[in-house]
Amino acid sequence: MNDGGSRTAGLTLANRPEEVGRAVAAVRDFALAAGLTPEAANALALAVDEAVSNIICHAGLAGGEDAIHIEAMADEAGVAIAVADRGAAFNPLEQAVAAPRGGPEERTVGGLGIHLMRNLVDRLDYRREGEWNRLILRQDRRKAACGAPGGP
Amino acid sequence: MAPAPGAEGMEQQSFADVMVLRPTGRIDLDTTPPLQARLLPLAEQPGCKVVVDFAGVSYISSSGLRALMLGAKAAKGTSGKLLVCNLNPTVAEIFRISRFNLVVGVMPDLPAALAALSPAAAAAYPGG
Repeated sequence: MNDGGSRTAGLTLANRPEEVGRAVAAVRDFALAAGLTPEAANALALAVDEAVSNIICHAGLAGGEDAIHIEAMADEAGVAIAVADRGAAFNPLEQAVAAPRGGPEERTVGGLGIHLMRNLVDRLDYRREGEWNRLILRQDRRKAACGAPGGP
Repeated sequence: MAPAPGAEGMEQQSFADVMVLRPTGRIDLDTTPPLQARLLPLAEQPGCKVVVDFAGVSYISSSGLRALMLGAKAAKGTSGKLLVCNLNPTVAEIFRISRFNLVVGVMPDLPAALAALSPAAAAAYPGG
């Protein structure tokens, strides 16, 4: 991710599954450089994985090298990652997703990605801006390594 | 027994009647299909005993969890068993959030997984 020495950076992804790993690595590196703990950076990167994967799988985007835009921003409060695409309007925050429970016979295929996203970061925001979906994932700074987000 | 390379370079090794899969790196949208392609045929065998060893896995996303879930469903349907082992802290956290310990048995390491499935497999493990 090109950050030009400032606390912002950007990345464009093609609408292909193999691009997910590139996004995850870039977000993790940015978050670590911005001072998040490894646990918080990992969780944020994983949440971005889920967001990008959801777009690739369900947004109905045409193939293209700039199908998904990622913007990273860091300040005193933490790190925010905006994931934008021009697919069908979709707000993951409005999806009714049941908390996972039960054994394999009780589980369904859908909804797990959104559940993970919601539990890996401190805040999620969504906006529809013209023809763009814009999902913002925020991870707060932690004073010390204290395990996964939400943990002790 | 020397490990046989699986699809996409994934190791697959047997210890007596237990089959061990060893994916590496990320298990995400892109890399889940090869794992699923190896896992499901094994899990669909009647009475299967399968371990997915996560020692070489850095993280798993919901795509990978779905493959494990499908494997667990298949194994349950054929009276087989599927376990995972050697989860790193990141993967363990994903399992915790997803309550995936209710979907597949989680063991600390491969010897423990083999011992849970088959005395013969435990004996076949080097040093076991």
